[in-house]
Amino acid sequence: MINRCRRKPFPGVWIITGILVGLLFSACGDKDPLLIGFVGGTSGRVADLGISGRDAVQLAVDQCNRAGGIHGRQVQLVMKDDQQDPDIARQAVQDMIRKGVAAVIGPMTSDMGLAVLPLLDEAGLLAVSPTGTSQSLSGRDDHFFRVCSTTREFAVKSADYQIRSGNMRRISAIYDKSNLSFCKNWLENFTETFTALGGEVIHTLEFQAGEERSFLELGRDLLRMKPDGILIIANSMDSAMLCQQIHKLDPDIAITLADWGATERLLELGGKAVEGVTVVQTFNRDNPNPRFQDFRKEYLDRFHREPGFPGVYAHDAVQVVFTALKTRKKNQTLKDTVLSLKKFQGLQNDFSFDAFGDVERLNASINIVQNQKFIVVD
Amino acid sequence: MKSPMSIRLYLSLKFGIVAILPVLIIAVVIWQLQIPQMRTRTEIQQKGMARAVAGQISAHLMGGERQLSALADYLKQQDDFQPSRLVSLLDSQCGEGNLFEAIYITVPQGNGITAIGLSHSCRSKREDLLGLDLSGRSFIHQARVPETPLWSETFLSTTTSRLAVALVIPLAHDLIIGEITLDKLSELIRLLPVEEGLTVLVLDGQNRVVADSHQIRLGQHVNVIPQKAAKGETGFAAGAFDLEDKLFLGTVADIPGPGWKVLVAQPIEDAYRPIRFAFITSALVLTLSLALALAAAAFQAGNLSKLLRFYTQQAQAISQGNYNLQWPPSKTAELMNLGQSFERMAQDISRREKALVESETRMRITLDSIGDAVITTDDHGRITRMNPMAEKLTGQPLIEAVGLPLPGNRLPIRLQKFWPREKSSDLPTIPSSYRETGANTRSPTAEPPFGIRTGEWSVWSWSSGMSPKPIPGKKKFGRVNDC
Repeated sequence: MINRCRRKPFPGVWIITGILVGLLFSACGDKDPLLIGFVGGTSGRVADLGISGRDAVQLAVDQCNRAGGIHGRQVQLVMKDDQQDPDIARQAVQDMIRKGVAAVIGPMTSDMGLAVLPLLDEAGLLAVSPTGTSQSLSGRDDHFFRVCSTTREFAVKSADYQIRSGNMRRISAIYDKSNLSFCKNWLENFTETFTALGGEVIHTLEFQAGEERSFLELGRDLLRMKPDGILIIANSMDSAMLCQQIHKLDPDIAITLADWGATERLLELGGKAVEGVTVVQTFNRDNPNPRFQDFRKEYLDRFHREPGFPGVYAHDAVQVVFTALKTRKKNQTLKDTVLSLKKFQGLQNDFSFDAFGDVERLNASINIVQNQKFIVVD
Repeated sequence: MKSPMSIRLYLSLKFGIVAILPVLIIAVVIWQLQIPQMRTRTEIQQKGMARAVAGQISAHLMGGERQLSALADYLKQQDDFQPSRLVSLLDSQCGEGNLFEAIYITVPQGNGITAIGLSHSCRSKREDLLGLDLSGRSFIHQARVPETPLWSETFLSTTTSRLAVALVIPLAHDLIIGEITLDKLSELIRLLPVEEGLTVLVLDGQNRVVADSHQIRLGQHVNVIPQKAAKGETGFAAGAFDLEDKLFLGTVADIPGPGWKVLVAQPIEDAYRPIRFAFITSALVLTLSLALALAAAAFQAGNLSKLLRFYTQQAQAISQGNYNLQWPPSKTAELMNLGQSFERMAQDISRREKALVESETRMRITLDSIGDAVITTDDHGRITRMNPMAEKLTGQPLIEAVGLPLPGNRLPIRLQKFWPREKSSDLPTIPSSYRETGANTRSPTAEPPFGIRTGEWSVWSWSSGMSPKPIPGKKKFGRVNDC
């Protein structure tokens, strides 16, 4: 009788099993991308701020991905244009929360920051704003962090310079009410210092582009009380347009701008009308730091224009998020990670967060536009 | 030793190997020929789309170029143009802003915009825009060759605060500039009959999106890596690239004029979906075919196995003496030969057996008729047969004696010379006196030897009550001589 032996498994069975196990492991190895949100105004009158910020974030993300991502995960950017509209900004952040972004870079303006703040806190989602400087966002234990100083530093520096230089003592001020939190806060800080030093704000106007009054009319109104200087707190496009109209009416009057308007676009749109205009900012275009120089070169090569302060601060903001994501411990929130790390490397200089996620960068400078360039004068 | 596998499994595996071969060939053909063809077809389809979109945009922009050139020619011929008439003329050229949002005249080194025409919705801004200094705009300085149109890079329009491109035509002393806002372009490509699922992007010289069919990437910078253009074709590049960390397959076509590009793309998973579907379908069909082939092979092998089992049973039946077997007709020559061979074998065995029976019968008749007693025993010395003389001599009928040991001690043995002398050495236990004389002498040990004579004088010896001891080479069949 023939013995029925237990058959050995066919070698193919082992091969197929091996392949399946291999596939299973390789499938497990495919990590989902890590989502990072960017929200800012990339269209309309504030677009220069948003576009520069967005491009810098995109560049940083590409650099990160080229270097292998974060813990092996590629970073994917979810970009939203808030159109400087609070409702759209809220919708954008809600979309990002739904998509499960790890953090948000932005918003780029203070008003949009205030609009999305409740959503961020509710979702426990960290947002690091490159350029939201209003003091309304300071001293809060919230999820809104920022890498730039508050309006106070800029406004005080500007007021102090104007008085010290003797440029202006009786000024008319105009601000954009579409970013009211930032503008009013800026004006209050300026006025406080300016008047304390003997200056006077004789006339204040608010405006919103697209409303009934033309820029020329606003210019006329600003000059009506014969000021010796004009303060404009607005985005670069509106600042340039106002400068052009004021220049048409009085080519010799001194004009100074808030940091918001001090982008490269001001030079492009303002032409000769912005020559001699002073601006305040914590950003130095001639900073020799190699990190900044490398970034600027790569940015210029890719986007064919200067990154400006929105680009530099957006890059700093995204580096805060990347560093925190890389060093975060298990069960630690991103906010706690940032606060525990506290100190970060910026493109131009290092900066530290306080317990509320605010930053103080004590290097504000006064720049003057000469030959379509920003020149540091103080 | 490895246990043999069933013929069913063996043949199934063999058939399976045979069936896999065409499956592999078909898979290779699909992979190497059909899929590249489908890929090429997808690229051609995208190329066609890109060409169509580029043509549409080019026509749109070139229409503007012709319009502005005609306007420039007209203005050149007018020596003295009243400002109000000029503004009306420029306004009418802008109309509703379907192409130009603003058309203005400026002196490069002068005092900004000297005259401006606006689309209907923007006319309230005229006061702001008149006299606007444009020296910060790079295109103002780039346009130098008179009457040669120049397309600017994209910029944020002062008029509309939207992304725009300017067409500049230098005149004798000044420039005429038309601003085209690009969100209208997005609207234009969105309305083109482009296949659903395709993304159409118009990129400027710096790969910045100036128009997007989905209107979500406007103004973004995209890293499109153009691949090598097909041989003989210019202005096209196709290939895969990353867009927002998603792999796309796209074709880039140049737009003459502003030096832009049209990118028609779709996610690679969508682009290759028909190919993947075809491949998966083919793979499923081939797998199914293979499974069916294996099932058919197993079924056929089972039939063959059944047939072989039948032949085995027939062989066993033949071994049991069943020679009149029915052999089924076979379609194969080998099996038919096997059946015939078995049949012949059965007939041969039957014939030989018959001859043996006849021989036995003859022998029995002979034994029954002879005067000698013949007792036949089996291997154990038990009686199997006795002839009548043996029955008579032993006094025991055959029917009783069968199966009993050969009762040598009870036999009155009187044998004479029943073995030749030369074989005496074979009988060590037989006393020499008995060997010499054949006299009825009993062994001194009371173990009477007993001789059995066969046809060849084979000899057995045994003791009383003991089983016979076979002597090697001797048969167990013998004859008792005259007792």
